[in-house]
Amino acid sequence: MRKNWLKHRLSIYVLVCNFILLAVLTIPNSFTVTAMPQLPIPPGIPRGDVLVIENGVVCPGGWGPDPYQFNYYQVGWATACTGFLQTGCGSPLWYMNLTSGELILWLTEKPPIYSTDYKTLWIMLRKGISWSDGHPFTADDLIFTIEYCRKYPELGLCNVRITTNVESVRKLDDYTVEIKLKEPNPYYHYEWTMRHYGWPVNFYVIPKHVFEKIEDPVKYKFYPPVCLGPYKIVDADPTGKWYLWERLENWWGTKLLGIKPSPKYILFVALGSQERSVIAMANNELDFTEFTSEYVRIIMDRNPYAWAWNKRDFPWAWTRDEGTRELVFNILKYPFNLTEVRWALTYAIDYKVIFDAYKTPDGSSIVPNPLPVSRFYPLEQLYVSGLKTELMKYNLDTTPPSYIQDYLRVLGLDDAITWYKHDLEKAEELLKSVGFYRGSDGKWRLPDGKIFEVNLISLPGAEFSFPLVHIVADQWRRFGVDVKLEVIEAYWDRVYSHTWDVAFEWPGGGFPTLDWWETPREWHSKNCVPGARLPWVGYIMCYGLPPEKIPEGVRKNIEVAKTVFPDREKLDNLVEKYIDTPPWDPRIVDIVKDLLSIHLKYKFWITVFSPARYMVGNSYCWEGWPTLKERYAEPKPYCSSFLFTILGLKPSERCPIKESTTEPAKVPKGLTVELKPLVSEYPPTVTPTVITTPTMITITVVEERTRTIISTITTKVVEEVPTIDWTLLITMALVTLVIGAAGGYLIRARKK
Amino acid sequence: MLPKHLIKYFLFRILILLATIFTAFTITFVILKIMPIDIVNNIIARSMAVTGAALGDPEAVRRMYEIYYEIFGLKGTFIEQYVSFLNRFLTMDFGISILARPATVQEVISYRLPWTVALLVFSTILSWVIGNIIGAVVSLFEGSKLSNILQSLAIILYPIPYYVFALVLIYIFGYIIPLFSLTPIRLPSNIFSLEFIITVFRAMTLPALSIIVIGALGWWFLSSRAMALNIISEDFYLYGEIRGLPKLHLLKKYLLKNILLPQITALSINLGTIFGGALLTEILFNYPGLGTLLYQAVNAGDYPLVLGIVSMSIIGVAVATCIMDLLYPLIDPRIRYR
Amino acid sequence: MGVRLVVQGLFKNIIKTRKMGLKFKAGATIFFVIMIFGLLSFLTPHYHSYWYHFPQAHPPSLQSVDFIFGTTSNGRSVFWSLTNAIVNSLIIAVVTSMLACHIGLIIGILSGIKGGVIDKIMMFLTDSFIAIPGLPLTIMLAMILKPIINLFLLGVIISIISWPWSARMIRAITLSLREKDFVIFAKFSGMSTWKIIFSEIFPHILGFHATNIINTMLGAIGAEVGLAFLGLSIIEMDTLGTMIYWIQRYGAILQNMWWWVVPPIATLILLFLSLYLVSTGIQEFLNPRLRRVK
Repeated sequence: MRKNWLKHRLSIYVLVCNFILLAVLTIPNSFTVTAMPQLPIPPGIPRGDVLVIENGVVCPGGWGPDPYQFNYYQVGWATACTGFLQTGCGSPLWYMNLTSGELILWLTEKPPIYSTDYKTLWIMLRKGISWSDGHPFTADDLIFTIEYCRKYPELGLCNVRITTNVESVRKLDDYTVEIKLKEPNPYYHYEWTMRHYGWPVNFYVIPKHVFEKIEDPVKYKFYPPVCLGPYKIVDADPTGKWYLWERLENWWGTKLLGIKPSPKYILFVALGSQERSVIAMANNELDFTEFTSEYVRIIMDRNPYAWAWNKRDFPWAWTRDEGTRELVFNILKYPFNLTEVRWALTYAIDYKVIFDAYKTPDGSSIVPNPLPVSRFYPLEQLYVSGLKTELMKYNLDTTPPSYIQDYLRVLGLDDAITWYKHDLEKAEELLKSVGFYRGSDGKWRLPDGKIFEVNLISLPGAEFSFPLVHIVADQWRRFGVDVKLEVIEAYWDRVYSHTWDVAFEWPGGGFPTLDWWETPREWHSKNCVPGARLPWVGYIMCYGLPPEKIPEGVRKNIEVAKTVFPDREKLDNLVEKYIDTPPWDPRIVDIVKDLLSIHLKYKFWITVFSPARYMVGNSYCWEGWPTLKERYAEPKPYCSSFLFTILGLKPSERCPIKESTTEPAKVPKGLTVELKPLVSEYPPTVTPTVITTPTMITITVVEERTRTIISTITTKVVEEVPTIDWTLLITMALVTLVIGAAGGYLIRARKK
Repeated sequence: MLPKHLIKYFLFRILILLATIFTAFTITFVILKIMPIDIVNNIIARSMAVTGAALGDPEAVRRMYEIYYEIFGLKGTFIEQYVSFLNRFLTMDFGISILARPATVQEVISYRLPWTVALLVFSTILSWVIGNIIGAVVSLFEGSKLSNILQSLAIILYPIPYYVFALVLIYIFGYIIPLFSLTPIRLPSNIFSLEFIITVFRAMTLPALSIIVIGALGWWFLSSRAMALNIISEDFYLYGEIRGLPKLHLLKKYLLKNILLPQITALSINLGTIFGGALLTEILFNYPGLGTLLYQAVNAGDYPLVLGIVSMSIIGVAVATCIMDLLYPLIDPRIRYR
Repeated sequence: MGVRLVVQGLFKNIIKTRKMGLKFKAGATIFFVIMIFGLLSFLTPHYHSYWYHFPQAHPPSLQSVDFIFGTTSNGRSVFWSLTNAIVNSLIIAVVTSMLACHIGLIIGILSGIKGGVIDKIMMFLTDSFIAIPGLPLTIMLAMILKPIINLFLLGVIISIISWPWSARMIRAITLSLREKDFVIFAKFSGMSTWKIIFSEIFPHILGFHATNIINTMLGAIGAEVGLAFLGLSIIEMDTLGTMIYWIQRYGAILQNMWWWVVPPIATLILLFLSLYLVSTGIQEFLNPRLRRVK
């Protein structure tokens, strides 16, 4: 009897556990429930007054260890996690409009004014601005910021940045500041322009009347912060899980420019993982976050209000990230110092597989990119299309699949340029030309008989390395290369140990301007010294130099190969010219083209793609998220220009509101000017005459540009209110019951 | 007045306690130092790479590296640093956390400690009680329906990966029946109100439930069952059974009393470890606690913070085991000091 | 000599499975089925390690062996992943249990029975290791060993945090055994300490030890799953942990890809069930009185 019983118990275990699993895995997918949000906000605030944003879009992991650290210039990166500090509270002197590349005059009345030798910069501040505590904002604050950073070496980055560039700073009048530079530098205004991210890329002004009172700058937390932006902090969770920001009713922007953001409160919450974000957004507890390509399809399924880049249509992916994703070679090491090897490994990659791997159900994916410049206006037209003939020489795929071409066309890009052909024969030929041979096991051998090993390193996490590095490792393995893939948390330490062969990085890219960012600035051979970011650009600055000129720290860890680099001098000259040419000067186009040609010829990095990012806004409570067709701002939450995205929002009628305004904020047209600093012989207050640059070469650039539009969306969306599918639940419960009863009966029958 | 040999034993045990704490601290420090992580590299390289900021002047960067090593107290040889950290350990003042600069280690820990302690003390003790009782009952009534159901539950639930289990819990109670919100909570200022209790309950139920189910049906259940089975086979138990003692009496006086000794040891150690936090629970349930803080600190190479949290855990466990050793004879009179 | 006695006794009787009780048989059967399934991994085709060799996220179908359990989002066969994962996870589990349990057993018994200075030193060592929080220690060790990590090392890392627990538990049991009449009798009758350990104490601990080994095996599999969740296992290899890692990475549960999610979980459950039955079976065998309780 016991025997039987045991037998049944076993089968029941298996049955029950499988049933539970199946039930648990399938039932949730058949339900959609509208939950009552339980947000961490003070009682009495309706849901419609709060805009809820996932904090992970701003800082990695979504929460920092100390929630009360609001001091920008403190060492470390804790401020990144305060959600909104740089976006809603800090204000730069200028913003760059990332959709068009224009300059937005924010705390200033004029674009930056350079002296003719580019050694002096004059800044004219807007009159009538006040800090959030009512104190007026004047030239003193700007001067204080520079002096403050200069005074304390223990502030690190901020101190180094000021002391490297600034000779002196002086007040001409209450609203005019003169900055004298150590060396001529037509790029210096970028340090004060919000192009990307915020601090530590560009500076913010700090209030003199607050900071001058503190004694120990190293211990100061600046909480609550005194702001120039439209929001102020109300409260922060001691464990850093959320931050609540409130609209400043007497903000200078409302008074001077008539800009009034619609959301009364903005709540930044840390949800911790993509799974939780998906569920929270399906519950309408979350209004905006970024998803990976694996999770975006789930949210688009679950929430009919979720909007991706083209609302709910193709393409979902936002591809205007300023960085391109690269596989950077360690070109100091044999055999990666050989151009043939680098090209062979490039040809061994099949971009179509990568495209398909990142593809979401709508058909959007990454943008294949053969060059390390961003693929959008004007870089696309000037450099990617501009170098088409050059690229053709390097085996560009002339017959790309039509679905990739369609996708590029929708994005307004050159559909003839995709990526290099997956050409294993050519790769084989190249490797054989430098003495490599295949062993009997099909694996490549170096000329001396050792197995050709590649140590590929990458960061874990959603930094776009996934699944790229896995696919590349896989394809190289299929080609016969022995790849050792390391996905490591201690990535930066690994990179700076110099012992890797290929690293996943993102040194390329660019902004919608003529210049090519800071990218080539470090390539000059004079930078091959300790302290430079050698690994970040794959040691280009050291390429072709005799081994004894390579920094001691590098030589200690790896064996530096002797390399002939005939274009060394040419490259150095180009970099020098690049640094001297102002970024708005059309002459820079040819310099960048030459730089790119050298980079292409030697293939220092394999640029694989411009990433596809899925910025999903939930239109249940807030409408007007920027989309492909209404691109009034970029949905770039980690950049502090995300403020303009928020300015374009308005509440839907579905959520109760009390204090939010029903219309989106209007940014006056007059604020946006052409991105071209003025050049003058005299300080602006001495003489008002301003001479513009004499060199004017017109370059014709054709672009299908979508202009700044803020229109009210009139389409009435007819939605069904999702409810619990009770019938299904009851059916399943009944089935479970019947199975259980039958099982029980059977057991009993057998027992007898 | 205590007998002389007892005092001697106590003193000796406390000496061992101190030695244990010291050794554990040293082991941690050495392992931390072997770790291939350098926080200065992390801060400078990462903040420049992630944001794309370049400096241009390598000399300035080199100066910055030096300044950073100086402020973080990471200059000097291995021994010097060890002495410096040992000094901080003895005063229990670990100074400024590098990750959370300019907050001190104490400050950062104090934000999270109440959460961790509240969750883990509650759930550890509850799962211990439930697990042991179930274990004893199941072995006492081996073969009965209740016993079978409990065993089946344990066998099915325990091996399910924690990630899946947690996700299913979140799914059921956060999505299908949205009882528990997924967004983090806001604590009301009045800690004696009903609202406060409800809020805390909302934040803690799911993580506590997951720990209790896995803990009670996992380790505690299995180990107490194993021990109970051993006792059932003893002569005195057989005798008790033959005498016809009621099952409840057998359970209370014969079984539980005997499995308590090793189980209390394990419980005390477990209670000591709560200062290390519960990393996976915290990550999966988005619960604020020391586990994620420690994980962040380890990943970044923030020595003061890692050592601060680990020291607390070390002291907690060491003291717990010491107390247990001293209390042994009270629970089990058969054990005498030698 | 004592060891030989015990081992002989154990083996003689394992061969006579009739005596081993049903639970053991059932457990062993399931375990062997899983093992045979795992051994299929030796037939793994070479293309299994390639990504996107098969269509992505293909539900199970009978067209070929590769598709029996469907494919993953990265175009690999779930069937072959599972067979490899079973073997690899079992290797980790066996390495851990062999190391951790036996170190724990030796240290626990020795310090329990010898007492005095040896006990103090051993417990001092054990306590030091117990005092360092386990998961952070594992994470740090895994980070240090990342460049050279393999299955065996992973087992070693996990056993570093497991052994002190076994030692403590075994010592506690030994302590209570030491005061038992039969041990005291044996001592008075002039038996040597080693003889007492093997003939009087060891058989009583064996039941716990067997449970402990199996628990440690399961604990090791669980710990590997935990490490994998944090990305610290060997993600290039198939283990039960890395299968869960990829499931999480691709959101397979929310995407309703049950064919990918159920196999590793069901395997974990069956593995646990079988080992649990084996351990109770062993206990019943060693402790014949247990068999009467029904």
